[in-house]
Amino acid sequence: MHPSAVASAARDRGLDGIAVCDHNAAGNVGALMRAGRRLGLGVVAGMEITSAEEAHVQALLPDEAAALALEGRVQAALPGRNDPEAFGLQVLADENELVLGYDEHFLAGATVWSVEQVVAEIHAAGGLAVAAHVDRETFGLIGQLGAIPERLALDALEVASHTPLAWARRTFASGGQALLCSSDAHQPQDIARGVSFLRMEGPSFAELRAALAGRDGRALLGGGWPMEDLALHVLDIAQNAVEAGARSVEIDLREDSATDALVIEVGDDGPGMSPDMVDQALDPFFTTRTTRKVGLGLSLLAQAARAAGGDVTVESREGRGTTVRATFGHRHVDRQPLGDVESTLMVLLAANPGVAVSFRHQAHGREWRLDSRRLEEEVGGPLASPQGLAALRAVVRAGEQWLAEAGPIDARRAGGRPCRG
Amino acid sequence: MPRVTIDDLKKIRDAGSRTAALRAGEARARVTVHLGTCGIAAGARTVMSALLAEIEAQGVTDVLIASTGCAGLCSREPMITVELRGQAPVKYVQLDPDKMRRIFKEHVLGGSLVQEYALASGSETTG
Repeated sequence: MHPSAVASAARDRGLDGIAVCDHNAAGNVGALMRAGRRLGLGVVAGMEITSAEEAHVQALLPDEAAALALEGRVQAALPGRNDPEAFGLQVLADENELVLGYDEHFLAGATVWSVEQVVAEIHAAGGLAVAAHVDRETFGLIGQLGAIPERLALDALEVASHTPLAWARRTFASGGQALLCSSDAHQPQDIARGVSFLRMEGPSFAELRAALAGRDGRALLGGGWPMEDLALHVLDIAQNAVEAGARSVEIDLREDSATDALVIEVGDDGPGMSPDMVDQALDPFFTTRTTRKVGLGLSLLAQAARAAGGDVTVESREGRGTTVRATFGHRHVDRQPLGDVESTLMVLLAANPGVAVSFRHQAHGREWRLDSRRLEEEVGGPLASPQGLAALRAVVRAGEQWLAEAGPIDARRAGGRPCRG
Repeated sequence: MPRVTIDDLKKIRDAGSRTAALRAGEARARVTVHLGTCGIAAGARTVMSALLAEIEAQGVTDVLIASTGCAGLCSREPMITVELRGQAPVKYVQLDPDKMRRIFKEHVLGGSLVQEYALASGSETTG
């Protein structure tokens, strides 16, 4: 670990605080806390402990001393020695990147402690026990044990992949447990991919403890790994249609500032859905129990629409196709930006040469259209070729430019990075 | 008349794209981008945009592009699969535009695997 690189990456990405949770080790905690202090970044001491069942539980601890004391107990319960050839060197460094030594324990291994013992050890050390990445296939409590044991005195659960928080809450935390979203970063570039929002005085352990317990006005507000913009939802819905077997997809974007409406419609000629399937697709809890493929994208879109004063309707007939219509308040403060239409269309058309895509975008009393079949004919070949891509870019850029010229300067269209959450 | 299921349609489409690849004959490789919801949320659009920009900038005409859905490894997205003609497919995980450009240069065009980004067998369980 490079403590100062981790701290600057976190600071650069706008985080107020991080927790450092190496696997079964705390040797770098102090250096990272000091590197964070230099940059004004809060660093909470921690450790990710592997139980005998190979479930990961995070310990969030009051300070470096508590972390080192717990590390001693963990490593005494951790069999084996590290093989640097197979697993790499486990470097201990200070805040100036000077190598202090190497941790010789087999940190990638499992302790002999059951999850109950791990949680008890964490609490005895004055810490908070968090079930790590419960949404993962492996090394999470649910993945390893099939369920979260009811008697386990966890202080929070963590989701650490592209799981919408609302769905995770209903699926994993129906008992009302605090749900943290984190990046589970193993490399500096992963930092801040998932974030949690907390209301507290500052990023310290004591404040975190109060926020997770909902005490003294402190609170865990939410978090997540959101879709960046509405164009990504369009790509997702269209791509889902293609996966389901559609050969033709129609995309319609209508922006009407007079009625303050933004409407996104994606129609396809795929196999369609029964009324039951439609209900399930809009209900993330139901559909994603078996597979994430069907419906998760629709429920994400529904969340985005409802957050912006709109909704999603799905019309579908088996054997005929499906039309998804999402409405948004155009000026609603929580409406995500439309985002990058150009790269969305280039990716969609280049990735699906066998699918006829027609696109229409209306705004400011103007509209432009794109028909993938006609463009292919004009190019005289596939769009995923140098000529095809150049033509595609030129057409989309011209169309979007034509609309933008008619409208007011709209910061939301500039594709700026939206707030997470 | 027997009903056609989504799986049937998928098989037909997959078979279709395989034949197309074989028929194309001169194609040196196929790059499949994983465009499931998990992949898209994780940044597949920017990864694929980088791939398309390379194809366009370098005038590459013998690489086929395809897409697929969720591969069940949502936490390792964005992912692509690279198939060189006559070789086993290789999956690359947790990509970003820079990694994509490097894989395109070294593996797709250069023919040598970029080990660091490849999904090694068994590595699904690290983490």
